[in-house]
Amino acid sequence: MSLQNISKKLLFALLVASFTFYSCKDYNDLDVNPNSGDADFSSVVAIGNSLTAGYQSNALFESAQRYSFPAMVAGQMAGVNNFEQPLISDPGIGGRLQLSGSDLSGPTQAQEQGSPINTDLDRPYNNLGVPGAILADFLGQDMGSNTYDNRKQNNPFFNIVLRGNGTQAEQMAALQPTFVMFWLGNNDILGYVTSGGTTPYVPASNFQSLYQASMNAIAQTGADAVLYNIPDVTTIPYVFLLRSQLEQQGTIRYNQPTQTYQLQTPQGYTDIYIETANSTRVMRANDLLLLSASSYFQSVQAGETAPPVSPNSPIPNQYVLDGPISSPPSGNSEIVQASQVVSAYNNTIANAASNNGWALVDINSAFSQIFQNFQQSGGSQGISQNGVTLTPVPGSLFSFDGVHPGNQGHGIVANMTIEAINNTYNANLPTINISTIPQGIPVSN
Amino acid sequence: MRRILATIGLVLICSASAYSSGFSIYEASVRANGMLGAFSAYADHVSTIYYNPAGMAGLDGFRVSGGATIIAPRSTFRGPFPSSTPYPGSQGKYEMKEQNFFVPNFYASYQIKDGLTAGIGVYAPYGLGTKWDENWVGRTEAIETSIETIFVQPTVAYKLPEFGIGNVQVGAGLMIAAYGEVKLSRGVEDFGVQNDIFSLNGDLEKPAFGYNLGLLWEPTDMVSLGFTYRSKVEVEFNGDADFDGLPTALFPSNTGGGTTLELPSNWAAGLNVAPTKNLSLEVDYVWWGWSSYDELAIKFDQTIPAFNSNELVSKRGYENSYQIRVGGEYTNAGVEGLDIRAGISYDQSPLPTKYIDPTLPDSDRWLFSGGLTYDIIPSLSVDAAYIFIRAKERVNRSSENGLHGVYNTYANLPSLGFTAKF
Repeated sequence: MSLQNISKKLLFALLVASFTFYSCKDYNDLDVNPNSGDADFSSVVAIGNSLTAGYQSNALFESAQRYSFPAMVAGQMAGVNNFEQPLISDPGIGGRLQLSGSDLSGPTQAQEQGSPINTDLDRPYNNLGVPGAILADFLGQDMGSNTYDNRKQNNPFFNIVLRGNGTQAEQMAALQPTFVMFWLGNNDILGYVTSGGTTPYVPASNFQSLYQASMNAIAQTGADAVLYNIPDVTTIPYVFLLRSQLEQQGTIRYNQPTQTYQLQTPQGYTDIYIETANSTRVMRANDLLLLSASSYFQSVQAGETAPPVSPNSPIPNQYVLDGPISSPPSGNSEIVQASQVVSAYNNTIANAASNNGWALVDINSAFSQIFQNFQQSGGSQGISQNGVTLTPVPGSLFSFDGVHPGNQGHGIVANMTIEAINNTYNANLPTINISTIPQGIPVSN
Repeated sequence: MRRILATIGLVLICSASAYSSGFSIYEASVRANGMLGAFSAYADHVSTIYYNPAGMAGLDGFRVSGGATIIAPRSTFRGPFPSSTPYPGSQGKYEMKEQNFFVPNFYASYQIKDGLTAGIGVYAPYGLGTKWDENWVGRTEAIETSIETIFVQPTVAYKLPEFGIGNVQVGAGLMIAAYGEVKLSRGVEDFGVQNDIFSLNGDLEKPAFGYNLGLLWEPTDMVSLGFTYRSKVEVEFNGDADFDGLPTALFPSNTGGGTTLELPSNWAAGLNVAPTKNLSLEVDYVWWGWSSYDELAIKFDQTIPAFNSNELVSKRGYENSYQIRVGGEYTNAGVEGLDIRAGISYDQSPLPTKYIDPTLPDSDRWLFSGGLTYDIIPSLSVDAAYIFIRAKERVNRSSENGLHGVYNTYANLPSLGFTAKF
């Protein structure tokens, strides 16, 4: 064979090789390691309220929704490809609390609104969290005179999330779920708390029957589920934060000898009066000031409102969550009432989880522990994961509204969910590295 | 002559650049492309100024060659895997935007006296260009990344006097990084604003310098051995950092920014055997000192409150790497004046898997080439070559940045040029 032939053959071989490599299949199927254990994540649905929706800083907006805990949990499930949410463009709907971009002062409420983005999805969203929803909304039940239709009419999020196509439960069933995240019940007590006890809560017995009916609706679909319980109301910044802030500023102080809270006035510190459901009395160690009272205190400091130093001008009832008085022992208080209701709710939820063999995320214990760490450390600790320390205050674990977690707070909830699922279903979902989640502090452009 | 160079210079400045192992581009000559750069002992073409400056000592008269390679890389990302945090798991497929890069080269040599030749080369030894959709899943890692460089290299080569071991030539060049541009952009999702793209545009403000050295030894007529060393070159890019709609209190407007890249040193050792007058075969081993590219530090001219620093450092973690290049040439192949070439090469990626990211979805790769030269007249020939690159599918399950998925890359590189000899 001549060298000429050899070289021709060599060239030909290279050409064939190139062609073979070029034309071979470009992609193999993605080998995604299954991690579902005994559960099935082929159709995942999240049911809940604003917490589930990813509502933050008083609004529902896209850049926060992307980090909603259900979206993050679904993102760790190998079977889930398209976890659709009712995204709303920034700055969202609700009046977002945001910092000013030029000097980071604030937060102030956004004047603009966003608008829904993927409204033409031809199936229900996987995240069916409706901000403001109570447990009864899941099945669309009336609560006496407070009918489902009324509630739908007074809350625009029903239309945004459900698009007029039936209740959360109906849309869940339409998705033929194999796995459901279910977190409802917060608003059944939260309205009572954030209004300083001026609006009613859902009685525990009603809650129990509603919850059982809801669980039946999930069980009927054949899906497995993870349930979430209700945090203690005193562990959310909306309830505990303002009083300690005012103390730090010196606006008020706790006077040990008289065991009363006092207001700084030009005449010195003077006992504060609060209005409670039963009476007007001095403010004691266990009485809390809601975040909504900050405007009231600004108005007092500006001299526009009479200072609450006389029984004639107490802090109005809706700004105060009154607590138990130890001596002399008082009867009921709003805080005791709320905490009894929450623990009754949580009994119901725990029973439902164990009866159905479903996973339970004990948000109540976790948030109480975080709050305790925070109190004991003088405000420097809370929860630490992946080198990130989050404290239970707005701008850290919580978003600016003091009720809803921020992005990284959602990461904490997502990791608790993953742990609960892994334990209950022998699944192997990887946890989320909190340090990779952007903080997502909302800022105006 | 001066005019020609100036004109060519202009053409070069207008060109974009490209993409290869790490971000080196070794497609520095159309003729060498045909043999996939197995060229450091070949030494019989003026582009040896790049591949081995010593080779130039053997070139007589006045020689000129110019050409361009189009690099058309195509990459996809599939994923992210569910383990990617905080990216939502999906089996989505994202295609890198299609870009074609024009990588020019120009060489000229002149024999001053027997055994002493001077020359100049202009080429683009480093470059990279990747662009993804502004809203793609990995937008916080990369949207657009581009690095362009043009080097000018005055070179001399000298043939040592005969002392009984065969022909020995040495050569040296001054590598001048004469032009450079760097561009990068990515999303910053920390603040819930709509226009959240951070970008940096920098130019090479002053030339940077390095050198290359070459040795060529021809113990017999049939065998030659080549060795080339190219030093590292530190290039400094300066320009503007743009923070789009990000909060100005955290990202001050009118911020200057820049970065310094250490373009790595490398060496190549080649063996060329010519069993007959018409055929030559070459194998080269090439080493790249990529470990110098351990981190990318963007420096700003003021403290950026968001970073609490005037510097943004990201770990790159490159490691040293190598290539094996094999090429062959057959001259007067059937037709008088027609030379054909072919090559195959294996190229090890300098990127460890955990540092792979969409700025450069690099991977170990196989390269295949074919090329030809046809002499239109004895003093002027046309060169053409074609390279196909297939990068190994890269499955990333443990990325530092959390974006885990599968990268696939291939590239087509047609090239065309001319060689003239006076």
